[in-house]
Amino acid sequence: LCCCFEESMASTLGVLSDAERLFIVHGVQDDLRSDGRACEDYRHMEVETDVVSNTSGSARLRLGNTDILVGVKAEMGEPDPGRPKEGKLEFFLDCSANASPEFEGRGGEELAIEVSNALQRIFSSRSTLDLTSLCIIPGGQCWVLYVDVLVLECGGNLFDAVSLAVKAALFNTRIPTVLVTADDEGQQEIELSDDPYDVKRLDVENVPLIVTLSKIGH
Amino acid sequence: MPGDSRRVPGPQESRSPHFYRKPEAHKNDGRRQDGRGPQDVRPVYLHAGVVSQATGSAYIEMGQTKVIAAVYGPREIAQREEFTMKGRLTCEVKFATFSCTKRRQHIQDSHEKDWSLIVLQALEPAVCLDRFPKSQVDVYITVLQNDGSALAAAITCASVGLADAGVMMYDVVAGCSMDQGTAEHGMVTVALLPSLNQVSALVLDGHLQQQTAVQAVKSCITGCHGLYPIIKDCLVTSTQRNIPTTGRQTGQPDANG
Repeated sequence: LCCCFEESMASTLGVLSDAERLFIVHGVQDDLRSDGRACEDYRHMEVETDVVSNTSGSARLRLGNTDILVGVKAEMGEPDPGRPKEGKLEFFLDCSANASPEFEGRGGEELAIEVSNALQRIFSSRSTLDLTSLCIIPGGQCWVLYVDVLVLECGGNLFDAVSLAVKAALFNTRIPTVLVTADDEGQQEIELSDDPYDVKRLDVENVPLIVTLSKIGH
Repeated sequence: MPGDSRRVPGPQESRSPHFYRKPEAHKNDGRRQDGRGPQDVRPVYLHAGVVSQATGSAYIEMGQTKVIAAVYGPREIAQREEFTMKGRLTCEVKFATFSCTKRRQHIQDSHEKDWSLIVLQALEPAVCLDRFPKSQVDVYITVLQNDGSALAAAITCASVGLADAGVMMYDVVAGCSMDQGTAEHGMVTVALLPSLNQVSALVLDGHLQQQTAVQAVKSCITGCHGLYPIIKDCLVTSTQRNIPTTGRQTGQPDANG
């Protein structure tokens, strides 16, 4: 869980003195964080979609000092044998070294795996996104959405920011309309529409948002 | 071998025959497949000290789910990092390749890595890490047979293994899981420190209504409390088994203590 005192004076050292810890605990008891917010106040949020041109969908989100860039690429692939009528979503998180000094080298890998796993778990439930809309040929071809999250700056509350950015990017995703025809030999042929505006959008109404809560003190 | 024209290669990918099986119709009388009611817990068998080479170990059977855990340590940390007053706990969960319905890979996949993190988060609050600075304790968990509830079994097994290894702990960790198989489908797993009555891990897979989720968590906590006497019993039995027999048989205190 992310703690609200991450961005305070001690973040570079990673260690808090007893006096600093007591100061924060007393502040929380008076409904005041070290950056001036009340305990239940959210950081200021800015979202922008369609920022990367080579993707099927993208979004950039700034939540306080946390900056996340998500790119979604839609590719055609084979569906899972156990779920032949559904498309797939693959998540990858990259905590780049310029996000935080702790992410240098392989430092960010553990956190990246944790967040990717959380996203995978959330989206494994069938009610979040209608994966049957990503089917092209049942049992043959389906759309695979590669959702790649790049953490540009890590200023706390990573889980929340990533889930918001992913929702925005999926909202922005445009999947080209495909036409499945049977040619002379009975084989199925896939044709992509010529019109760049002939696209399908995803229904992200039920895509969940993560909210992180920390308990400080008794 | 790629590009070998003299051989006829077999299929590169193989599939489990279960995909071609017709899905079983769910019985709607409120009872599970093995006849248990929705609130009934599976019978548990717990045995500590099963791996002779490990510092501590445990084996658990929860119904048909079988999990074994081995604990090594405290031992020296492989990589010399910054000095820290707290010890380190690492955890590795692995499914045996034959343990699930579908054959698993022998290399740890992302699902297993996810579970390793969850079990680590469940165990860490219970271990007195400041008792072994500059050292680490490694917990290796293998799921031998997965019939559901493997995560809860893994957590319980690992904590009994840690206790068997003599690692100082604030409390054992009991794991219990519950799934709701009706209209909405979700599984809740809770790891609890019973005597401190604190939850160290909570995982919900799937989706549940808010009330159902809260109810399921409460049921899991009750289940964990019910598991506590079994854990205590197992540890007491294994300690008694390890007492040197000479002192016990003659009824007189042994000369060496």
